[in-house]
Formats: sequence, C-alpha cells, structure tokens
Amino acid sequence: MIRLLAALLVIIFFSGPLYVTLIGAFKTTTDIIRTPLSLTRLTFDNMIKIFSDSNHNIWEMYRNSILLTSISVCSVLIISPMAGYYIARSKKKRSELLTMFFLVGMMVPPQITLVPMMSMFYKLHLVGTLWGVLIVYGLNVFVLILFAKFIVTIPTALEESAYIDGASTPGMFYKIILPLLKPMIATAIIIDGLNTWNDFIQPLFLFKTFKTITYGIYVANSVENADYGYILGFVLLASIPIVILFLFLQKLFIDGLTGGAIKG
Amino acid sequence: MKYKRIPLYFILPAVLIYLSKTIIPILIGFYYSLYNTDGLARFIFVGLENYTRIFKDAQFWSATLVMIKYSVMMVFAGQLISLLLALLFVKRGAINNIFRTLVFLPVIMSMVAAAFIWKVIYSYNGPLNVILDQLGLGFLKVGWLTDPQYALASIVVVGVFKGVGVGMILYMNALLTIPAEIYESANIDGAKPFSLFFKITLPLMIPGISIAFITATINNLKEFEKMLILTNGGPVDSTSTLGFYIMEVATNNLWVGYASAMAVILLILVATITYYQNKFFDSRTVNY
Repeated sequence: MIRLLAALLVIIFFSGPLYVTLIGAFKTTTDIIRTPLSLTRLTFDNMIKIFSDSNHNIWEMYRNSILLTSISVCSVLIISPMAGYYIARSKKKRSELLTMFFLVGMMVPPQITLVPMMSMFYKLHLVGTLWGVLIVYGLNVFVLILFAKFIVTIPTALEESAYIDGASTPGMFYKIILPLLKPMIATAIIIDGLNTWNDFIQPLFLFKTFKTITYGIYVANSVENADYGYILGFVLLASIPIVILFLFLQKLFIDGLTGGAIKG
Repeated sequence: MKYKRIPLYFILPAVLIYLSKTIIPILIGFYYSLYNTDGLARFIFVGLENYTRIFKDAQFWSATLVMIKYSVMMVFAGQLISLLLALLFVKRGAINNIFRTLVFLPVIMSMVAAAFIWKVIYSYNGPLNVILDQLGLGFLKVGWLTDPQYALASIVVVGVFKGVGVGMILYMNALLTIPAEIYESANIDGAKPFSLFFKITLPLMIPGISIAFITATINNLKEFEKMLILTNGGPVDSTSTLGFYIMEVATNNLWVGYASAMAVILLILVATITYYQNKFFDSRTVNY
C-alpha cells in the first residue's frame, strides 16, 4: 500500500538523521564513518572531550543560553500582553495602523537590519550588555500580534462593568484580563523561548563574547575540523533540553507554533 | 469605548524596543545604502552609485538566480510534501500522532543543530555515502555539498527536513475546516476520489495554502543561514543566494553601504513577490 511506503519513507527521512546523531554523539569518528547505524562500540569519549574543553566551556554556554532565554521570555511576557491589550481595545483605525506597523518587522529581510544593528551595537557599546539583550530579545512581534488578536476575542462586558464600579485601567488589566490570558501566556513562553534558545545568527553577530550553546555548535565545528563525534555530541547537547520539553508538551508546542497562523 | 482610554505606557515599551531593533536599523540601512561605508569609521557619500553598481555586478545577478532557484525548489518541494504529509496523517489516532511528532521534531531544533547534522551526513565519508556503499549503491555517491550540481538541492533537502512539520500542521488544520457534509453530498453525487480532491478539497484549502505559500516564500527568499553553515556560499558560488551574498559582502568585505543597497533591493523584491502572490490567491479563493 502506498500509505505503508510513505510511512516508511517518513521514518527513514525524519528519524534517520536524528538516530544517527543520537548514537553518533557516542561514537568515535572512525566508527561513525565505518558503521554509522550500528549500536556497537559506544563511548563517552566525545562527551568527556566536550565537557572538559577549556576553550569552550559548555556550562558557560548553557548558562548563557538559559540567561538569554529567561530574560527574553520575562520581557516578552511583561510587555506583550499590555501592548496587545492596547491594540485590541483601540479604535479600528488605530489598531489597524499599529498592526501594520508591527507586521512590517516580520516581513523585512534580516540582512537589512543586521548590519546597522551591528554598527549600532559597537558604536553604543551595547555588546554583551543587558540593554543590548533587551533590544534584541525583549520583544517578539509574532507574540505581540498573537496577544492582540487573542484579546480582541475577549468580550468587553467584564471591563465595562469593572469601569462602572470605578476600577482603574491598570487594575482592570491586572485583575480581569491577565487571568484570562493564561493559555496565551503558555504559547508565548514556548514561541519566544524556542526562538531565543535556538537563535544563532544574532548571538554570532551581536553577542560575540556572550557565547550561547548554538554559537557553540558553530565554533565547535571550525575548531575540531571533521571530528564528527564531537560535532554530533554538541548538537545533541544543544537539542536535548528542547526535545525533552517538546515530548512532554507536544500539544502546547504545536498549537503555539502554528495556531497563530491558522486563526489568522 | 465605554471605558477609559488605555494609558500610553501600555504600549510604549513594545514600541520603543521595536523602533530600536527594527525601524531604526531599517532607516539606517537605507541611509548606509547611499554611502561607501564600513559601518564604523569610513563614510563617503556616493548617492545612488551603490545601486547602479548592483546592476553591473555579475555576482548579484547570479546570486539572484540562485535565490530564485532555491525558493522555487523549496516552496514546491516543501509545500507538496507538507500537503502529502497532512493528507496522510490528518486523522486522529496514536499511530498518526507518533508520525506527526516525528515530522515536527526537526522544526523545534535549532537551525544550526539541524544543519550540522546534515553537514556530517552529507560529508564524503559521512553516513549517507557510507550507507549507499553498504547497500551496494556506491555509484550514487557524490559530494553532496561539494559538487556544484548537487549542493543547492542538498540544501533544499535540509530545508524540507526542518520546515515541513509546520506546513503539515497548517494543511491539516485547513483540511479539518472543510465540513464533512460537503464530502457526503459529493459522494452521493458519485464523485471519484481524485476529482473529489482536486475540485473540492483543494479549492477549499486555498486560504490555508495561501498562508503557507506566502510565508514560505518570504522566508525562503531571505534565506542565508543554511548556506552559511552548510556550504558558505557553496562550491563556486552555486549556493550563494542573494541573502547570502549580502551577508558575505557586509561581514567579510565590510562594504556595508553596498550590502545595504542590495538589501533594499531584496526588500523590494520580497514585497513585490508577496503582493502578487497574495493577489493570485485572493482571486482563486472560493466560497461554497
């Protein structure tokens, strides 16, 4: 049956590389070359090499990645719901204008912003500072627009009665809207967390001294040229945290990463 | 609105950050494109000279061609496979779920991670060629990333590996929005599965298809990260897309002004193509 053949192809194509990586991380390079698929002669040599490499401290890289991701997620969770609320409750013209304003950012090629940002960063001495991180990762436009669209679907009745009872806008936002945003907040954490953790280009060009784990993979390759075991080990270490999270929170991940596009 | 206007500070942080990281850099980019500059110290006003240079630059044109080749391959291969995967695994069930998870796993990995996995696999002594040998198919061995004939296609494969998960979910949701009654009435009228698909399913999926196509196109036209990691522009520039060429010129040669001018051209290109794609899909949207 065609379905069977297709299923087989899917398994080979999608899990093959992952399998090769999983076991390759625990094999010597010569073994990867000779027997890429077999489970024999597994060794921890690569792991030992990676964890004891004095030039590229992997713990530091993990720490940096976690730091960047945490800062980003916190910042995004603070400013996106508020901004989304503002856009959602604005009059049509203003909300359309604001939405277009932010959408531009999603369409623009990164090439046009990357080099000016590099100049900006070097001239203003933002490399490796908290401000630099906030500028680059503090806002996630996609998340912002998702919040705006989501809040639009919340009926205004609750806010109106709260206002009549004399509530202030910030109070209203904090006590009424925020609790309703919980599912969206989970989605936002996943979208932004994933985005920041996986990002490679921006750490490469803007945060040179602040090495993240994705940057580590890239550097690991140039240093240990053609040491496949080492490279795959690094790839594994960089991906395992997210893969594990993903396997436990599958539905959240998938809905979050694609839900925005569907509800349109 | 019956209640108080929301204070400006609700949206101020977002706007400030957005200005700093997107709007101002874009404007600076436009500004740089009129200069011969390295972004740091050298600033010589040259007006539109960068732009006229672009049209005489042979590598610009070849990079544009490579970009178009890459995008066409990516969009068609990617969308087709996404659609097929959606059709295969749309129904509920534990087995389908496992397959969907498998397909989606590469999506959540970092692009660097996925690219390096394939870099290892594609190397001449890497798993792909070794397995081909072991299967007695040694004659199929090539330098997947080192042969100008195959390098670009090899990169497309990586793109498919990494990207179809999202497409699959998008198409699945598009499929699920089609009310069951339409299929029932079509069956009553005696429709065959093939025509059923092409005349009913596909047209009704057009909104979903358009989103998938348009975002895929935009992302593929700008692409340079894969090329940077896998081939660094590739054997004899065969994988140097416009996106990559711009990055190379800006970071290697520090011709920031020239690179910015090309980036502006790229922006115009992306906007134009997106506009026409949107029009195309809008005109084909049906409502039953």
